[in-house]
Amino acid sequence: MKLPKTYGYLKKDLDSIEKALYRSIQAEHPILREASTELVKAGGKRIRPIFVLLSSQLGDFHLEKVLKLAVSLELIHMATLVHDDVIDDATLRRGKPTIKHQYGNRVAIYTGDYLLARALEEVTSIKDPRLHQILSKAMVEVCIGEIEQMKDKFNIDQSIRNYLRRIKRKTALLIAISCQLGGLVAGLPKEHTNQLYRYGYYVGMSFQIIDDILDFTSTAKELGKPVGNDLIQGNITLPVLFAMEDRAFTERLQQAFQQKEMEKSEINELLTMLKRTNAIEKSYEWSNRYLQKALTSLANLPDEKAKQILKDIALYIGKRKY
Amino acid sequence: MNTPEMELTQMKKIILDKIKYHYMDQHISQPKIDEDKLALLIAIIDHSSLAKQKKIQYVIATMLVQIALDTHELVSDDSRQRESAEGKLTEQLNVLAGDYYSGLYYYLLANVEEIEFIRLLASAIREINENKMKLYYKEIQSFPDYVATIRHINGLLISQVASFFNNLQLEHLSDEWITLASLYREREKIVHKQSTMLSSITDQELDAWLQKKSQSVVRIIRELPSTYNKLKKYFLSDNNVIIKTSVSEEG
Repeated sequence: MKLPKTYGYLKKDLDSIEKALYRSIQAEHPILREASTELVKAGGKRIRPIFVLLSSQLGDFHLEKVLKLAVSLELIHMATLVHDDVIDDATLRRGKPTIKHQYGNRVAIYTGDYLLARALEEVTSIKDPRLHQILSKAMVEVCIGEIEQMKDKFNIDQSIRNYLRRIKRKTALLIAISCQLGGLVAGLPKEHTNQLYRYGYYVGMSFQIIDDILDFTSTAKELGKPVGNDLIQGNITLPVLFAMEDRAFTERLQQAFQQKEMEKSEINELLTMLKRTNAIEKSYEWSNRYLQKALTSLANLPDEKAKQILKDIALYIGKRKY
Repeated sequence: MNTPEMELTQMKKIILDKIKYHYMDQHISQPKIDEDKLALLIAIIDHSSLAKQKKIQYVIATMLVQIALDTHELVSDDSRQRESAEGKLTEQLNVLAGDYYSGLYYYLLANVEEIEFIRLLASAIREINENKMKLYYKEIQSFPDYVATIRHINGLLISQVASFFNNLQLEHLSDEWITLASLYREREKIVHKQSTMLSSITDQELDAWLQKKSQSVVRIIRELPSTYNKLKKYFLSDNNVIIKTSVSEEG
């Protein structure tokens, strides 16, 4: 994620995280090393490391612990993406060929398992059992979220509550614990780490809702994947749930989902229909509501520079275009 | 933990209960639990100084890792697997199931605050995947190299646990038995004309090697002290291919 220039003081620590990330994936097998390096090089927003870094700056900052935690959370996130691409049979991610597409399913699976193992090797150098209890619980929840998402695919009989629970597990949880654990390794009291968790949770919810909006409003070039990819995969997101208040849209969607393999013309038709409803505006409203809650969660935290940046990030997420 | 059979049955049930997930159970087959590995693991952990409740957690967590690795082996490069909707779903759920079981082992050990053991299992997984890559890309130079790679992929997890508890006898036995059992499975593939990596050795040479190794591994089992009687009884049953081979050679 590009941070404004005024936050340049974070650059040094972010560079350290980046270097630590490269160091952590130096596999012995050349293709495993190459595949892992490509993943790191592909960039990504690094939101989890940024949140770890900022949260830990609110307390007693120890770079070594922060590096281990930030690297571990990013590796876990990367491992999930590599395996997701096998599940979705995806050829592109962030505009580049996926590991699955380049090397096949098996290598993608081995790479994901390797990254996950490296993440746990890194993070277990921090001995605080609370950290591992929180992190491991979140990892199990993330998996359950993915399984539940699979179960709900191509099923139009879903509620908003269902969607919110899914994106909590899919996205918000890892962001929430990035903030919480950042505070924990910096020795913040439980009251503050809980507030950081809530901040991360609300930001994560907003972030995913915006991701789901951008899936319809961005270009394929900006997304690095086809527009409407969620619908193609059979995933019902918030804009779709709002658009389903329109009966004609729901009927057309039901027809399209019955075949499970949608034609491009069908996708385009559904996109046009969705954009004619107020689904995008309503989704932005929900995202903004979460962002407001995120800002409120920060109220009682120490008034450090990092707190201001956490506020700015929440506002930035609300405005992001891709 | 009474007799080995009872322990195995009980532990298998506990492990399978742990990984129950209704939606997955509907679409993917129940994971197979490698009984030899489980028997070795129970013996290793039973002889440690851990508290009883922790012993059970260690066994479950290690087997969860094994099941996770085995489940991910079911994911194929062959796109024909995904031609039917059910085939596609099974393949997708095998990916998720492997990740879920991995998460569970971490969760289980984190809750009993066994951070060093989490690290040990993670290191084993890393090394196993490095070796799986080697095998996948057929970077096998010779028969001994093949045996070493198989040893790493199939035997490393249990032998690392034995090493963690400084149990040299069972570390050696785990290494040897699991590798040998894997080689017998490869031998079966040759018999059934399935694809195998064993091209640098003739059938006769392989059989001679298997017989020699079987005798040596049986010797290791027989020489185990009486504290391992349950494990000895489990492994020295007549219906085991390794025992049969060693006996036929001796006879």
